[in-house]
Amino acid sequence: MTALAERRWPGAFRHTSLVAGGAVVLLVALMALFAPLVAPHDPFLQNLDHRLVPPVWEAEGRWAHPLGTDALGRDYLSRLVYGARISLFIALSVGLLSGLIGTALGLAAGYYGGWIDTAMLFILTNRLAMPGVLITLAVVAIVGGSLTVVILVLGFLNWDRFAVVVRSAAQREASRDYVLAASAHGASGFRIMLAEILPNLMGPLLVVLTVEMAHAILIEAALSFLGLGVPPPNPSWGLMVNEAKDHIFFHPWMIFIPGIAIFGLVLAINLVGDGLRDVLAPEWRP
Amino acid sequence: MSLLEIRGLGVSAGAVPLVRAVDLSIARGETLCLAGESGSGKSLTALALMDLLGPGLTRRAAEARFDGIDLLDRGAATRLRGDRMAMIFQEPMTALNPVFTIGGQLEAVYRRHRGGGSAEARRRALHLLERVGIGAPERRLRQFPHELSGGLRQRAMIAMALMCQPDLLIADEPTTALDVTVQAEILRLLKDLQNELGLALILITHDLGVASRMADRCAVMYAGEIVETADRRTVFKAPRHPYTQALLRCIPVLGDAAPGTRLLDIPGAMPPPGESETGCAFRARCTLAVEECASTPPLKPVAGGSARCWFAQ
Repeated sequence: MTALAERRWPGAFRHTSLVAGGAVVLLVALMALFAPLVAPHDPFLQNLDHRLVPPVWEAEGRWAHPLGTDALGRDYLSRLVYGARISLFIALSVGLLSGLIGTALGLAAGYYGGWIDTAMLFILTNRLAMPGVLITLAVVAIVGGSLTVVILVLGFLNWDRFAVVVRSAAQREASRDYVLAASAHGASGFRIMLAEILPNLMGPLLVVLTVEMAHAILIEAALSFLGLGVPPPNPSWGLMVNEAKDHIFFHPWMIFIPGIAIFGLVLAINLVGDGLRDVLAPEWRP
Repeated sequence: MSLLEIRGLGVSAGAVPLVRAVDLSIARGETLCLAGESGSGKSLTALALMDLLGPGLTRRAAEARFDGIDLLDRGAATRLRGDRMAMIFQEPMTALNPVFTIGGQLEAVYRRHRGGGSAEARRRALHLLERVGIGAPERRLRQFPHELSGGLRQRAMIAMALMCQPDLLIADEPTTALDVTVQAEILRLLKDLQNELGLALILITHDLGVASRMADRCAVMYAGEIVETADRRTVFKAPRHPYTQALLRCIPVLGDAAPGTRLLDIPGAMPPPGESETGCAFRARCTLAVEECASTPPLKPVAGGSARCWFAQ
C-alpha cells in the first residue's frame, strides 16, 4: 500500500534521525534563503588589514568575525552562509534535472515493458559504464567551470538511480488492479502512467531524491576543490577548502569549517533520506 | 435487437488457445451470468470484451458489435470503455487508486468522458454514492480508499462504473472478496440498479447460487468454451450438458445428506490450456463419454438454449 495515502506523516515526527536531519537541513535552507540578513558582512568584501583573523574560540579571535577571515580578509561566516546557497541550489537543480530524466525513462520502461524496457536498459548500461567523475572533469576542462555547466553535467549523469528505482516500482504498480480498473474506465496508457502510477511512486522518488541531492553536493565540493567547479570568487564550500589548503598547517580551522559544513549538510540530507524511506517506503529498506 | 453481439471470440497466449469460439449476446436490461470454475476463461472473456487483455494475450473474433458499433475497431472500443461499457472487479481493496480520494476518482471518470466542470461531476458523484447506499456521501467523497471497508469500496466502484450511465456493466466476481451478508446487499443493489437504469449486466461468477439468483440467462464455461447456454430455468432445472449436471449435483443441500456421507465431486481436473485440441474437453471426466466424444461437438440448439454435447437434446 502506498505510504502517502496511508497518512504515515504523524509517525514521521517520532522518527529521531528524520527530525534531527530535517532540523539541520531546514536551518541551512533558512540560512541560505535569508543570507543577506544572516551574514554579518559582504562575502566578497576584501579587507587586507584583517587577513587570516582566527575564529572567536582562538586567542586572537574577535566577535566582528565570528569564524575569522580568509587569506584575503573576507568574512568566513558570511562566505559560509552564502556558500550554503550554492550547495543547496546545486542539490535542488541537479536533483530535479536528473530526477526528471530518470523518472521519465524508468516510468516508460516499467510501464510499457517490451522493447522500450530493453532500450532503456541499454541506455542505462551505457550510462553506468561511463566513469562519471572523469566525464565531468573532461567536460569542465573543455567548456570551463561554471555553476550552469556543473548542474547540467551532473544532472545528465546522475539519473541512473532514479531510473532503476522508478522502473522496478512502476513494474510493480502496473500489475495492480487499479491500473486495470483505470483502463476499464477509459483512461489512456499515457494518462495511467502519469496520473495513476506516478503519484504512487512519490515515496521511493523522494528517498532517491535526497540521496542524489547529497551526492550532488559532494561532487560539486570535490569539483570546486579541484578548481573545476564554481569559479572564484564565489563562496562555494569546496572552493573554500581549496583556498584554505595552503594554510592547513598554521590555520587548520580554515579547512575544518567548510569541511564540517559539507559533512554536516550531507549527513543531514542522508538522515532525512533514511527517515523518509522508513516512513514512506519501508519496502525499500535494505 | 441485442445490445452486445459477439461471435467466435477467442483469446490465446501465443499459440495456446485460452478461450475458444465464444458466442454471446445480451439485450438491454438483461442479466447474463458467465459461470464456471477457476481457469475456465470467464474473466478472460470479459477482459477481451473490454479490450483489456494484458501483454502477451491476443484476441480474435469473427464479429463483435456493441449497439451497432464495431468493437474490433480498437479506437471505438477505447471510447466506449468507462462511458457506455463499464466494468467492476473482484478485489475492491486494490481496484481503487490508493493515493486519490474517492471523490477525485469518481469525478475524473466523469470529466474524462463528459467534460464539464468539477461542480457538475461532484454533483453526479454525490448522487451516485447516495444511490449505491453509501451513508454520509459528502464525507466519503473526501476519504481515501483505505478508510473504507471492503463493502463500501465495492459500492464506490459500482458508483464509479455508473458515472457515465453505461448501457452495459460487466461485473467480474463482484462479491467473491466480500463476506456473505455484504455479498447479498451488493447483489441486491446490482439488481435494483439494473431495473432502474435498464442496464445490461454480465455477471461473472463461480458461485452457482449467485447465478441462480441473478441470471436471466446463464452461460456455463469449461476449459475456455461455452458448454451450455440457456435461460435460468433450463440451466438450473433441466441442464443439458453433463458438466452442468455434474456441477449442480455437487451443491450440497442442507439436511439432505445423512451424516457421514461424502459430498459429491467431479473426479479429475480441467485439462490445462492447449492440451485438448480436438474432442469434447469434458470427456475425460464425463460419465457418458463414448468414442464419438473424441470429435469436437458443436453447440447444438436444444430446448431453452444450446449445449456442446453429442448427447444433448
